Amino acid sequence: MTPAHGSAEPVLQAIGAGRVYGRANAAVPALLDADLAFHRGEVCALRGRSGSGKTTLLNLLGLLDRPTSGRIVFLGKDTSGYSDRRLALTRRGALGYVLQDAGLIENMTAVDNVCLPGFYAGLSARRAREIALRALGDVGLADKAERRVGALSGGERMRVGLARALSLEPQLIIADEPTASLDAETAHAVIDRLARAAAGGACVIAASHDPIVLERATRTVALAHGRVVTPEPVA
Amino acid sequence: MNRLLAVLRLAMWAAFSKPSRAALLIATLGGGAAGVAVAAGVMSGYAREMERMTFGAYARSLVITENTFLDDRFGPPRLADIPRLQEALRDSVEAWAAWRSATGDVRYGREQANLPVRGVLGDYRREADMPLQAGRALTLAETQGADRLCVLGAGAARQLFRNDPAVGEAIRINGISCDVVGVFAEAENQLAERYRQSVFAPFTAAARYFENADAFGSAGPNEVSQLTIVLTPETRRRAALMTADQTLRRSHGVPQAQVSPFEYADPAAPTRALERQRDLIGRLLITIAAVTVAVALTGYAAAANAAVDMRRREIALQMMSGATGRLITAQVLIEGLIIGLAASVAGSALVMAGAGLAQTFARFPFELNPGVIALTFVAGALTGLIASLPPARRAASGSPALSARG
Ligand SMILES: Nc1ncnc2c1ncn2[C@@H]1O[C@H](COP(=O)(O)OP(=O)(O)OP(=O)(O)O)[C@@H](O)[C@H]1O
Ligand SMILES: [Mg+2]
Repeated sequence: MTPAHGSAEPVLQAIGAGRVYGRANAAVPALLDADLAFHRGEVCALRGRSGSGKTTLLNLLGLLDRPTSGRIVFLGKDTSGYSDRRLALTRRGALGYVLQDAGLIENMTAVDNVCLPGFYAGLSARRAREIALRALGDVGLADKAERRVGALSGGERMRVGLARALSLEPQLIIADEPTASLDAETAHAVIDRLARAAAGGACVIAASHDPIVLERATRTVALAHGRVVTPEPVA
Repeated sequence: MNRLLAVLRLAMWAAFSKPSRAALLIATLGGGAAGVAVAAGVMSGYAREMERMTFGAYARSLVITENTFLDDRFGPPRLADIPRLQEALRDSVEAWAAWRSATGDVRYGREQANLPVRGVLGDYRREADMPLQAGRALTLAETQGADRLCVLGAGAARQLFRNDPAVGEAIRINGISCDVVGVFAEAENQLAERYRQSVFAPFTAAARYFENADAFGSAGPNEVSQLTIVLTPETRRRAALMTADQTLRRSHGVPQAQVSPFEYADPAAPTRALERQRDLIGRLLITIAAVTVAVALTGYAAAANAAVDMRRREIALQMMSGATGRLITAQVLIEGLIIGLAASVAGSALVMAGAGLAQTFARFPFELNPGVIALTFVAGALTGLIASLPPARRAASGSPALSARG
């Protein structure tokens, strides 16, 4: 087995990755020629102004979208030729997402939201629920598990999203502005939890401007106009 | 397996997560299901009504009686007409029977009843096609003889014997003793109902012993109150009727110019009328059902498409969490199936209530039997499933990348 840190094989690599939205004369080149590698145990902060392409890059890194040029290599496997189905199967259990607005299904209870990755990973309803309840307890929401998420506060919703992202202990965690709408205390709690996952061997990539996040990051990548402006330190 | 169960749960959740949307979708599909239930219910109502009216071979009969509206100069058909008609109609005759009818004072022990006494000759059971409940029927030879034997209709037996066995007992008809050899069973059709009170005896025995001269007027022993000729299925009824009428006119000396002194009843006429009515109403209702189903299909597909659009993010989040396009497709289809089944419940309930209400104003053939309910459910489920195909495709074609963009 490869060791968890250091010069081992990266969890994820972007090789000349680019993404152009739309086509022909209406084309928007949102990301250009990104070459990046991410390793276990790291918390990578992704900086850049609004519209610089952070979400675009995160979607590619999170296997939610395909690059229009270049490649994304996950766990040593080039995913460029993957079908939608193969990508979905690859995401199962291996990737966790923390979204800017939490990204919860409104009419569901908190625990049902957190159960979703478990369901699709093929766990029994009981097992998925067990895991979801533990994950909710972990973010301090054990007592709100049966609430509809529509009835939760912004910070609580964010923590439900965090529980969903972490419940199956994924190898790669993609976070888009995880602390943007949170008070300092909650923000600290969230980044603590992400850092803990990284310490456990996961790779965390978080788009953020929040100093609270930046000070905990092991590394920072900056984007400007769709280009990576911080040179990747040589591995 | 776990995944499919999860999809089922999610579909159930998605179907009812927005009650107003669920109600709209159920109403849309329910209209189609109700249309199918009405059409199927009325068709099966007609089927039942027609079953009640079935006359079997009797439907193909020429039933000849005296035309009682004319002056009584020529009289009813006579036994001697039978061989003549057989000769004239030849291969068209499948069976025949001659009947006499009178009312008799019938007694057994202390029980007394005034019952129709039918003298029968020939193949009378082709017409009175009733199963036996006890004993046996009169044989052909017995109908040709004059033995004092009889078979009782189920109602007649009940009146005279209550629940005691009748076969082997002797009853008295207008004071004359007669042995009961059999009892017909109750049967669920109109013809059997007509005969259930009757006492059946050999033609000549009835004429000779059991008819009260005062009651029946001056009917001669050879006079037939009804002559039934069962025609072969190939025979054209109209032609047979003309031949029979000519033969009878010749035999009774009635000129062609004169109105026929005989009546030729068509036992199948009411069935045929009902059949025509059923075909007409059936076509109408099936058209209406088809239109409501088509409306339900398009309505549901459009509404579900809109719902999928509204749920794009939700679906993207599911995909982000590991749902494949197939699982999303399955979820939307199952959702359609669930809504379709709920719509079937609503549609059948509506039709049941509606039919009950309508029946209080006017009787019409309608029957909501298990077959009809099953058909309604199949129709509801199928429309739900089929109408979900476009929204399912639409849902599955969404991108998980939408998750990131609230
Ligand atoms: N689906 C799309 N179609 C066309 N253009 C898009 C699409 N998504 C994003 N863009 C454009 O691509 C560019 C990068 O967008 P992206 O969402 O990656 O920026 P961002 O860095 O995440 O910004 P923010 O900090 O505001 O979230 C922007 O100019 C945006 O308008
Ligand atoms: Mg963004």
